[in-house]
Amino acid sequence: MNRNPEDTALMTKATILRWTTPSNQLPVPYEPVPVRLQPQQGDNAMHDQDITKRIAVKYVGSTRPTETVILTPGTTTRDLLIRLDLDPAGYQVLDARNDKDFKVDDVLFARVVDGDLVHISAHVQAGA
Amino acid sequence: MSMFGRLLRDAFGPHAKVMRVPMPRGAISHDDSSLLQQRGWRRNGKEYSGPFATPFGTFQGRIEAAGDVFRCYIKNPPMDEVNRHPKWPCFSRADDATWWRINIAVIPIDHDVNAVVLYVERLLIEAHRLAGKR
Repeated sequence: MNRNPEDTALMTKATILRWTTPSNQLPVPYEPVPVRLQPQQGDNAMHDQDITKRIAVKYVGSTRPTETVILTPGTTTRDLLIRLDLDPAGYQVLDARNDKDFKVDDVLFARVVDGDLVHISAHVQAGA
Repeated sequence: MSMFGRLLRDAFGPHAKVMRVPMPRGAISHDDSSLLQQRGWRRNGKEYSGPFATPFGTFQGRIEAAGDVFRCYIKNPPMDEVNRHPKWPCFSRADDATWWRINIAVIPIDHDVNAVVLYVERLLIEAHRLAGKR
C-alpha cells in the first residue's frame, strides 16, 4: 500500500504528541527561555569565582615531581610561588611554550589557559 | 560561590587562590627529569659539561660551581647574534680562543646548575630573535 508522504508526516507528528503530552492536555507551544546578558545581584551562576584553570607546574632544576594546581581568578605569579613554598624573589615562572617569564605581580590566571604547562626555575642573571 | 570555591576557602582560608591537586589515578605522569638529564650533561666533581641546546643550534658548554661563584663557559657562541643582545658585555673570551666566558652576576638561590643552563639557552634564543632569525 502506498501512503501519501504528507499522511505519514501527520501520523508521525500525532504519535509524538500522543507520547509526549498527557491525554488531558493540549500540547504547549515552545517558549524560549529569556537570556540575561548582564549578571544580576545574587546571580552566582555567572560569577567569576565559578571559573578555574588547571595547570601543570614543572620544576626545571630538580627531579621534584611535576604538580598540578588549580588557579582561581586573580591568582598572581607570587600567589603560585608562595603556595608551592618557593621564595617569589628567588624563583621565576616561565611559559613552557615560549620560555617567556611571568613577572611576579602578573595575574597568572589571565595569562595561562586551562591545561597549560609552566616551568619554575631559580633566578639567574648575567652581569658584566 | 561554586563548590570548588567553597572547598578552597574552607580548606585554606578566604584568601586561598591556588590549590594543589593530586594526579588522577591511572594518569600518565609527566617527565620529571631535570634539564641536565634531558640535555645529557655530565658532572665531574664541581664541573659540569654538556650542550646548550637551542632551536638554532647546539653549543658546547661548561659550568664550574664553586660555592657562591658560577663560572659559565660556552664554546664558539654565535657572537654575531649575541652582539645584538643587551647582555653582550657579559661575554668575554676565556683563555682558549674558542671558549667564551659568561659572567653570572645573580646566581640561583638554590645553587642549581639547571637554572644556569636554562638561562644561557634563553639568552641565546633571545639573541637570535633580536637578530631577526626566527
